[in-house]
Amino acid sequence: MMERLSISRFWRIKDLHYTFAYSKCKKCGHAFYPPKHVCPKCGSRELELTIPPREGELLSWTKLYEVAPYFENEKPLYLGLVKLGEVKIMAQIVDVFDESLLKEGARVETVFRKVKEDGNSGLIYYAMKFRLTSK
Amino acid sequence: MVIFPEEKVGIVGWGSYFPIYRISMGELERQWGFPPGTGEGLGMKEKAVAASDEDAVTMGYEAARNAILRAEIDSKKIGAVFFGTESKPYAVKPSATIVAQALGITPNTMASDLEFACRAASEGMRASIGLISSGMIEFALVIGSDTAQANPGDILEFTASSGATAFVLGPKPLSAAYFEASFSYITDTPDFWRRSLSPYPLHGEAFTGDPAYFDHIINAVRGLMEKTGLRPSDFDFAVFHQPNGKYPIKVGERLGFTKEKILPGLLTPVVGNTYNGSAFQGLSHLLDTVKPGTRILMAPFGSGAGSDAYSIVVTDKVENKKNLAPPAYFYVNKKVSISYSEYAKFRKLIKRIGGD
Repeated sequence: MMERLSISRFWRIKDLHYTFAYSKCKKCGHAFYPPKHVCPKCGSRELELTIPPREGELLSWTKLYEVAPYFENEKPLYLGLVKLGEVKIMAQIVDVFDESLLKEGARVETVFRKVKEDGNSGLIYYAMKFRLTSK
Repeated sequence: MVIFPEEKVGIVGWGSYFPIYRISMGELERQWGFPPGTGEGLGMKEKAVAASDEDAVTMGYEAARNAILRAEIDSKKIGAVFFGTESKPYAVKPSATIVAQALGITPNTMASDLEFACRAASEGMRASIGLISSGMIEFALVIGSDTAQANPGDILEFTASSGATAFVLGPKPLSAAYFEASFSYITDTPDFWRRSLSPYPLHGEAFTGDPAYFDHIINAVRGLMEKTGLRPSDFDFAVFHQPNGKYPIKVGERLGFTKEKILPGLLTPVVGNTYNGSAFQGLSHLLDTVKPGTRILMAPFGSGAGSDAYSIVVTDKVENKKNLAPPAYFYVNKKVSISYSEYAKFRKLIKRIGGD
């Protein structure tokens, strides 16, 4: 039996998963992802939830051959560190059919995909991932 | 021509999405021992296949995002989200709410999933026209999205594909194309069905043709013609439901439309039958390419069975909206060929234990 995700926990932070929303400190201007209640730089609680742009820049990536059981259908799994506006976000890169295109500085865009299903009868969890921008 | 209530409403934004993966007709023929040319006989070249992490919700989101980009409106102004699909990820829990939440439309909106085989989204379109023309809401989002199911080895597997198309409907003055009139024709006809909990649909073979597809589309289109006084020669293009590459041309011929008016909006040969996105994808592609003043006939069809016919006139606003999102053919051309094994893995046709 797979470990199930907490329904309430996912529900509380669904907007974060659906948009890559991040926190921006109104006092010192520090921007960070994932959002928190307190600014890790100045300690202020005056934070603003901000939605980043759709497109960003690939900073680094890696490829996983050993993955958690649910992700076996998606092996190998590509993970990318992306500069998305003023924050850096790590997430899966999908639709990789030519690995040579995964270069530092490559343009990537957000894409809405399934991240996990809790078995055949549990919830389906959706979130943002990345893919290479093909414009 | 009489002015109908539909004329207050138009298409403010449109968008399509097809996954990058394609399986060829030859691959399907070899896999199941069909004679070479079976796919070609259906007018098919290849079909789009959703990846493991894609479903009707994710594809519907992508098409809707493109439609909202072209609509150039705050998504909070959308007062209804209608999600037409026959491959909804949940039997009970709306897909429309997930898409509406992810696109920032919630909470002050209507949202529901509609089911009428391949015609559910079109029902959403007609309902949206009513809601907008009455003044109840200003904008509606209509999504047709399916990861179409087919029993492995069934002839249906040559066409059933994955993709989505969405439209933002709104007031005529803001529209890239407006509706002149519409007409529906519905009967109880058992041509294609899927029982509750059954993973794949069944169909009545040739019964899907004359008593179902042809009868309903022909009657819907003739009803529209009688209502409006329009004739086939008044339309520049015709888009019918596209279950394969042949039926739309045949139904067009029976109604008096030349092949030249149908082929420009026929995408099924290169992406497959995306079910609820099928006729919609043709209209979406035409809006990407045609000039203001063009009059388009669209007639989606759904098994069970029913068809709606729409007369749609393109306005000069279409030009500025075309480049605000990728055109349908951007996704048609962005493709990677896969084997039947990969197709089986992506569509979860391989039985495994663990890892669920």
